[in-house]
Amino acid sequence: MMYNTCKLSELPLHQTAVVEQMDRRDPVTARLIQLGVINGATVTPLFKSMLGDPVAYQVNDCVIALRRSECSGVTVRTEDDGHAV
Amino acid sequence: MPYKVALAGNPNVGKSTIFNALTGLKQHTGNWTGKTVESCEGHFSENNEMYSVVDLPGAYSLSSFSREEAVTADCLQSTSFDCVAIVLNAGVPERNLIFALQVLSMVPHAILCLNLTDEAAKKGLQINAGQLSKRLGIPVVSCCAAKKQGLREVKRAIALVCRTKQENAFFRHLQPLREDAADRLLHRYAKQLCDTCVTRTAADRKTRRDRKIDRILTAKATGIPLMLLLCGVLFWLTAVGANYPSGWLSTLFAAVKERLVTVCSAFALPKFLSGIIIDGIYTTLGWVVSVMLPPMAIFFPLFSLLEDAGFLPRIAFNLDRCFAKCGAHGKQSLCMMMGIGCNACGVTGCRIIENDKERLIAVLTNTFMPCNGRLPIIIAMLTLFFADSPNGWVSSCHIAMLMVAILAGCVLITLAASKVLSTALKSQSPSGFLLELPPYRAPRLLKTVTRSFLDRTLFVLGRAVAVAAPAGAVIWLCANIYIGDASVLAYCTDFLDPVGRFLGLDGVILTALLLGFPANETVIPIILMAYTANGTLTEFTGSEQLYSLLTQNGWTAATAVCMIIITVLHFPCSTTCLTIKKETGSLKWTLLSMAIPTITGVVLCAVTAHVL
Repeated sequence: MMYNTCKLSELPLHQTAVVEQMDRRDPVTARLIQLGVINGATVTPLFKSMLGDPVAYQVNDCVIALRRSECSGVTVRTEDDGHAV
Repeated sequence: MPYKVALAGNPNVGKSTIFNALTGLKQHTGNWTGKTVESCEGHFSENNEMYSVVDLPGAYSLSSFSREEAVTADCLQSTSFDCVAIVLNAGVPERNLIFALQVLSMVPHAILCLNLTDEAAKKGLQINAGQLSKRLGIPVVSCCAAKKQGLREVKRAIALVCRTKQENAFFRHLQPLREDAADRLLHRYAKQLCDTCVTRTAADRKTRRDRKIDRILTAKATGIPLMLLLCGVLFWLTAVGANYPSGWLSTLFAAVKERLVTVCSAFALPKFLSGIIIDGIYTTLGWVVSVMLPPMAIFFPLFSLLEDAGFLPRIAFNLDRCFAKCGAHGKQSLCMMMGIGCNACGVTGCRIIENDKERLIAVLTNTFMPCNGRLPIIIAMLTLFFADSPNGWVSSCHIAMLMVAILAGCVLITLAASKVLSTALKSQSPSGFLLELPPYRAPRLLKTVTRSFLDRTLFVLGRAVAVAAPAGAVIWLCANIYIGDASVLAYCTDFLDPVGRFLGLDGVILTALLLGFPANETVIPIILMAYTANGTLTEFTGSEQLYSLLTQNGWTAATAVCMIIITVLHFPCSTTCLTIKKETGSLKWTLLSMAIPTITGVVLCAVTAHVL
């Protein structure tokens, strides 16, 4: 199977992906982990705010708003054809 | 000794709702993360045993980030509770279970409450409480606190644990582990629990409807107009609705006053005594209640409906970018909205902002939001001086639009001040936004409205009795104690008059603002008292008389504009100042928080006065 990896902040809307790696040095990471953004979790960008940033993500069973800068440290994996893994 | 019980859990899972249902108290609740920032205590009894309950602020984790979370972690660590009721949002099982496991590893005696089960069912989630209970070694109860379902079981479970002192299966499980290892184990264990105890079916229409509303509320084309429209409707209803009860109340107070005068003369009370009681205390009280109460008793119930529905986090979400550009945090808009209710509450609410610098900015700029004591002054100014259309509907729309514009102005000033502060303050790494957007919840219409109405009424009446009554007595004394041929009050107002004139106001208004420091509600009554003090006191039963009194004393539309500016932009009231001192722990920041709005207001007023 072919995988694509990209930063969470670059993931297009409505495309589900799996968290692959997180930047351990980033202080935001610990907070993200508490909110359920951990390796292996599925995330889907749902909608952008009025001015484009932050973006609301579906993580596990809830909706969390994250700024672009916060999710630049998170690498996610999608299948090549753009469907959910 | 009562058993000690604590309620803990992730933010916005309904801890305060359960707390209220258990204890019969009336803690404020709302559909957003960070509504409760201070712990609160209450009691209930079950089978003749007393239980004292602490409602802890919500936390995502016990390795704390924000202040409210630190409160929760400290409290759980330092107090030996007989039972900790861990409240879970059954709709978000995995993340909630991670927190639950953290708590279970720290405290021996606990129960689990699966709250919001109705919402979870709509999401297609079903949790097997029996299985979960077996795995964790504690009672697990399903409930739906908002509908008062399952609360008896919660009480019984708490009583059982308090009596038997049964220890949970996870206690001290994590202690030998390093932090990241503990974290990994928690996540793995929570996932396992979810896999065995939670069954999933497809989500229903509700979730899809939520997303649709979200898309409309957050789209560029519809988001801002909708927010402004909502705000406008709120103020329109307030402006239209407040007029009638205001009129009734002032008629009532005037009628009672006549009786009081008769009674006083029947008992042949000395003039001094009847003056201080009737013209001082009673009249001020009457004015505060009839002018300030009706707008607030209409505005806040409506506002709490929006709060319960879950709109507030969306507004913060939409505005975050603007705040980020000014070096502040989007959650600041949540504190600002609380500030409209009461700046002191808004300042305390700033605890939800994790970053120290951003929190300080939010605390220092909170007074730019006109609070409960100042909003009615603005509405009154607009009603008296700018609603000149003969058609009531047109003029009320007019007021609503002006009100929205003023509020937008307040937001702009807040943003500008935040920008200046963030450049001036030492830089720190910026924090993230990380705000949970809860599902929309249909507000319990009648309950929310009546509770908010009663709360507001009690709040305003309480302030009226505690502050307005003594203020009335003091101001009457000032107006009636003569030194030479002028009263003390006249000396004050004459002294301040040149400054007042320079700002487009007058000495009386400035005196009122200074004397209104304990509570801004008293500003208008003090002004009226000062204007009427010299002549015989006339009755005010409607806005026409108020208007003519003000214009007789030289008020024009320009004065009203300056009055609105200085109302929004001056030092916060004493309660807010004390709260700022408490929250920042520094006299320097408190003084700065008084200086910033005052200087801005003085400059703006002076400019306006010379332009108009």
